[in-house]
Amino acid sequence: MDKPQQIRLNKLSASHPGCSLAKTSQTLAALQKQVKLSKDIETAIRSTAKKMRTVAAPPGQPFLFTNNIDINERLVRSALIRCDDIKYRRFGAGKAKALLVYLGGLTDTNKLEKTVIECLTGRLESYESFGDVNEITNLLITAAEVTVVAKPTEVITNIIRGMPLLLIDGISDALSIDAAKYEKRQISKAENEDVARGPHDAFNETLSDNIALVRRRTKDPDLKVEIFEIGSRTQTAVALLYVDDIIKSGLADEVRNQLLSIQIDKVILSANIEEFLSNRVWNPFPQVLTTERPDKTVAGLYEGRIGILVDNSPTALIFPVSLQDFMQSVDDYTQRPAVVSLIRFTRYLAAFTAVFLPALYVSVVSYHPGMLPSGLAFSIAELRARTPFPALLEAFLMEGLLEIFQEAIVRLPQKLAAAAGVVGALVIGTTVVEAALVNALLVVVVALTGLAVFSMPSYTFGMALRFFRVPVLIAAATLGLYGVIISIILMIVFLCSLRTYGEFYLGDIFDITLIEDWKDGLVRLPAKFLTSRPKRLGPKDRTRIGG
Amino acid sequence: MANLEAKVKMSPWQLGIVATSGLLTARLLPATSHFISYAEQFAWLSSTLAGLFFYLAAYLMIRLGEQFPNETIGEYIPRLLGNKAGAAVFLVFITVLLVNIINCAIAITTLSTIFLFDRTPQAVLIIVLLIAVVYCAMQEWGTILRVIQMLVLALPLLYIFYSLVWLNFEPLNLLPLWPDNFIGILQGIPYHTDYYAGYESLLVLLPLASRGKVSFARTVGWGFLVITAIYVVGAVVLVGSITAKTIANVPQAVIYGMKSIELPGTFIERLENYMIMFFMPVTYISMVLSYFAVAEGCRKYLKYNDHRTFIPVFLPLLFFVSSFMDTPYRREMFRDFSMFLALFFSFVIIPILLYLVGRKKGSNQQC
Repeated sequence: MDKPQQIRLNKLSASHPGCSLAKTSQTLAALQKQVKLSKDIETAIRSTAKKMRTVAAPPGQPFLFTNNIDINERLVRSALIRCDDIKYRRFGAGKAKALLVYLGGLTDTNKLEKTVIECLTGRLESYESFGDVNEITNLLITAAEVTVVAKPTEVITNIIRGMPLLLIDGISDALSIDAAKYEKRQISKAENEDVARGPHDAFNETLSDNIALVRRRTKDPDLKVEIFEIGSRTQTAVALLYVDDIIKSGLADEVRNQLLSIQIDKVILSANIEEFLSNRVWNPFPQVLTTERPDKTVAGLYEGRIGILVDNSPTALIFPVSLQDFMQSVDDYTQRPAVVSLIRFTRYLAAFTAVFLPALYVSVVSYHPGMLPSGLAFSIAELRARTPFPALLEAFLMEGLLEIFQEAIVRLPQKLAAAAGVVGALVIGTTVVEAALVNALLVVVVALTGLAVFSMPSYTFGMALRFFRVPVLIAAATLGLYGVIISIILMIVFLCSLRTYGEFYLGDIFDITLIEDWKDGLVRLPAKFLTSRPKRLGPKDRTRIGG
Repeated sequence: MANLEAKVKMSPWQLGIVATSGLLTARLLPATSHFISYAEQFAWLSSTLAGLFFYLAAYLMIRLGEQFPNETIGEYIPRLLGNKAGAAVFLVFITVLLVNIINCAIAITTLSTIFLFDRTPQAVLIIVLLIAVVYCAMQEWGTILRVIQMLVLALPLLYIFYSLVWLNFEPLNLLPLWPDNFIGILQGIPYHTDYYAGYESLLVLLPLASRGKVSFARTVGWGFLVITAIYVVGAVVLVGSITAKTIANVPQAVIYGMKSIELPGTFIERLENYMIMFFMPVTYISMVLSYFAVAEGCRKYLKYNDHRTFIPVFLPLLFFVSSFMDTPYRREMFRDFSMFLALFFSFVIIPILLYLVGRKKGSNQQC
């Protein structure tokens, strides 16, 4: 019988001295040193290469194209180093070698295949060579737009935009081919500005689509579209739209200059541009109207306003605007004028409610209960006797809860938002009252203010109203009705002091010099009376109907 | 951001609205019992004559201003009277306006202390109100003009509310119909200073108005007509409701009249509180207008670039004097002083200035 083998457990380093911890650490340190050294070498090589290129390149350019395709490829590769999404495709074009450089995902490769590669490979025999670059652009390549680009920086930018670069051996010119293609959202229904009647198409994130949506609605050659690139890094396309024979003299020039003077590295959202167009950045009220509706944009343009569309942003910016523009909806022009006038009046009432109702409640309950009928005053006193907090604290508590729920509902996915709404209603409506934290009347008051904010056609305007609610509440808690009236006065002064491009933010509201504009402000008169464009916007051509 | 269209000029009609919207203030509340103690149930007649009387003062100021288009009183007064006398007259002008601000602040805060906050120190209410006034007066004229046009809407609302006093109207209280105390009626006229204070700002506002087809005298005249009509109807209804004798014996007769209204089955009570709420914006207009006129006048007189430099300068003075008037006796004294000062400025200084202008223009066209 074999003797059972005895197993002895030892350290690995005992049998293999090279695996000791000290040795491993030593090796790792040496490795790290090597890696660092190689990085330093790489940096040194790159800087030397850059210096060498700089010598040959004109000022402001990283290099200069040569007529050697191998050198050109190396130069382009070094300029686009660590950009793995850049594709390099070499092929033979007659006797010469050719190279296509393009951005994968942003280039229509089928189009490239048909209009460039097939043309160059199919039309030339292996012994044929090119005459000059004009022969390539005019006779050989069938792509719709081919441009000869001299500056390497422009070449690199075009590649990043999805316009492939074509290099041919023996020719020092670079060709940019328009074959950009990218995934985009289809034109769909407006998500935030739905209407009962009227068109449902809305802007998407593609500038060209958005301009087309505007152009499709008017055949007016006086509608001008100027496109700029803003953002030193993103170079985002921004379109300035206006109707040349309507807009106030000097306004388009002013806005153009403003746009061109924007110093920013990136424009990701249209709001990035919006902030540069507002003259008082701490003002909570929006000074630019945002819309995702092309019809609203066109209507604005024909009133003498400016429109701005930003690539990758599904909203148009419209200005100059005044307060009543935030109180109007597209539906106002599809419903009967009498009904619309009443609805508009309701909106103004809602705006007042959104800011001042909790303050009025706190002031009346805390300071002036005598203003209420005796029965109501007693029942409120009875309700308040059950809660331990003063009216202001109760109001703050409810306001806080309301704000939290509003934020939660806005941020949550649609399905969860409904659930959160139910939870909110239960918690606020029932539990808080049953727990005697706040009284039921205050719940009604705060819920009304919440609804009033939701009734605003403009979300950003509603947000501004929410902003003012708390200071007014504090004024009411400190000085009762006196504080509320002072708050109203101060708010009026603040609103009167706001201007956008020389126009009062309050627009024509109770301005007797603009009495002609009153027909489409607080109320809307029937279309046959709306014969002129708003005077406050100073249009060159005021006639809207007739003339 | 460039201001494409600076809106600092007003139309003649806007001047009419601005100049007369500052007349009706809470100052009239304590003054009512004074003039009715003289005019008794013929208060309406006294108010009518007072309207003409004070419009005459405003008209003289417009005439004076029209002699110096595009110039405020601070600019032409040194040329007209010399440096020292000019400074003295300018000081009186500034004092008249500052006194108006103080009187307005006292009137509205006294009212609020009595009817809204019996335990809050009046000085707290005064400083809050003055800060709000300063905020508006710091704005440029275009904004102030816009604010006035917005807040003046409180005036019809105030009047509609006041019209509830008609519910207690008794025609017999107006008897006898034919006045038998003409002296009393005339004696009541100067006490209307509190009803019409603030038109002095015209001397600064005129250059801010653009000349149109309608004359300034006409637009301001229409404003005076409306305000006088409000006062006359107000006097008739108040005397008809609570009798002239009661009015003469209560300090806040209008509020007393409001308190006597009972609206059965309605939701609102304590109507006087609503009345005070509506009085606040209209009083605020007068204060802002006077404050702006003071600052703008000083700017022109001392040749500064911005009227805002002078706004904080007067704030401590206004607060101190307003807070000092914390007893009925002091308030009474101050009101009498302000009445004599305003009348002296309007009916002594201005006619003299007009006379001097006429004489200088007669002798030398270069004035």
